[in-house]
Amino acid sequence: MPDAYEWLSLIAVQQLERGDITEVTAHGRTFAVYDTAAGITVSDARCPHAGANLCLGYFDGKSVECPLHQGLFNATTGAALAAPATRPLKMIESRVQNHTVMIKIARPL
Amino acid sequence: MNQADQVLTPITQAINEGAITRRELRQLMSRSDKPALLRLALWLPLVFFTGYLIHLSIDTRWFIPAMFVHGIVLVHHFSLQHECVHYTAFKTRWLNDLVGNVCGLIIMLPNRFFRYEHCDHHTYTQRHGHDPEMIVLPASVKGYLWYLSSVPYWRAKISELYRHSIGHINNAEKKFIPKEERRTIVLEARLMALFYVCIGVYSVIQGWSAPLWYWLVPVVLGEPVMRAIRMTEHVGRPTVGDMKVNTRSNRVSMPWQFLCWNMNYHAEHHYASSVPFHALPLLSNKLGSHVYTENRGYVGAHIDMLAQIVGRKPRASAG
Repeated sequence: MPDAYEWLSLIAVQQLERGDITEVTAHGRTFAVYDTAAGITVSDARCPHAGANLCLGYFDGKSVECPLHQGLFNATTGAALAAPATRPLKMIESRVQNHTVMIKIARPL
Repeated sequence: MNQADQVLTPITQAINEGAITRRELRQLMSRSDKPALLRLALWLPLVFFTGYLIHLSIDTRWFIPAMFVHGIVLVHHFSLQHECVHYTAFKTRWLNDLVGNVCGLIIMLPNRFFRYEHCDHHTYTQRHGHDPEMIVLPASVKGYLWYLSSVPYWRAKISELYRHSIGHINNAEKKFIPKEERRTIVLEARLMALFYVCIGVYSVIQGWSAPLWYWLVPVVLGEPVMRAIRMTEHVGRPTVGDMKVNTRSNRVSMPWQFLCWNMNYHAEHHYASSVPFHALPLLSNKLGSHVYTENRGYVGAHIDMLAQIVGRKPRASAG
């Protein structure tokens, strides 16, 4: 049975904003790529509270703050850390391979 | 997130229109505890000074004017609390919660509740039936003066605190307070009510009148000034979602700017609510004519509102 997921290239590490969030639109979606103190992580760019673009939020290297309501999320685990965020941020499994950020997403059926 | 289903926040709009870049925004969003602590170092002596003026004026005809001046300073704790609910006053998040709650006790505005209510104000600015903080342009001069009297405001706030204290969140509030937070909102209201009851009971038993003359009466006297300032932010502007037109910034003198923690840059604040108060003048320089600014300040904003109320100019509307 073939794997239901696949690893896709997202962005070259060299193109990332150092210590910041980089917005990447690829594979029909927009992702937020975080250069955190603990490494590179990727999430859906949309805030799960009201849909604002998290790539425009304040990022301190660990947490990302929604630019609209200042809800706070852990940029590594996606955990909602402060109101009005109650649902976790949708994190995308990622890895760096050959200087490229790769993400694991479901294969289209 | 596809472009089509992306939520267009004001800051996304500004970036899409080239008014500001992500890099510039990142610099402006930088947080620090220092600017707010420095301002507090001036703020607290000012509060004590205006309070001392009341003390000096006891048994003189300056007693009520002194309470009014002190009240103007006290009601501006709203501006500091507002900055705290955005977590932009201090870099340290718990400091925002602490100071925001203290401000809330001074002006009877529960901090957590205000945070949720204010979130919807930013989502639905100036949209009838959705913006929970919307002040409708009064239909007449009488209605305008009635709003400024603060009677409707206090009636709403006291009934709100009572309702929440007895555990009742109304349907309009349920729209912006998540289910899992309703108990916290009720607990917050109960603790606030308990605080006031304790102060009241202690004052009566001990014959202690200081809270009345140095706090409650000044806040009541000063609130019309805060109502007047809050009206300048959106009242009389078109009731549409477009941030370019629905919010008014006001050019005001330094003392007023100090008191309101730079919230006279209100349109800029709505564009990028993650930008701290101390960076709003820089953001204003950056956005320039991208936002609507009343150069005559608070007075000019009220001249504009009154002109619309008496029919000298068309009323701003959704059209």
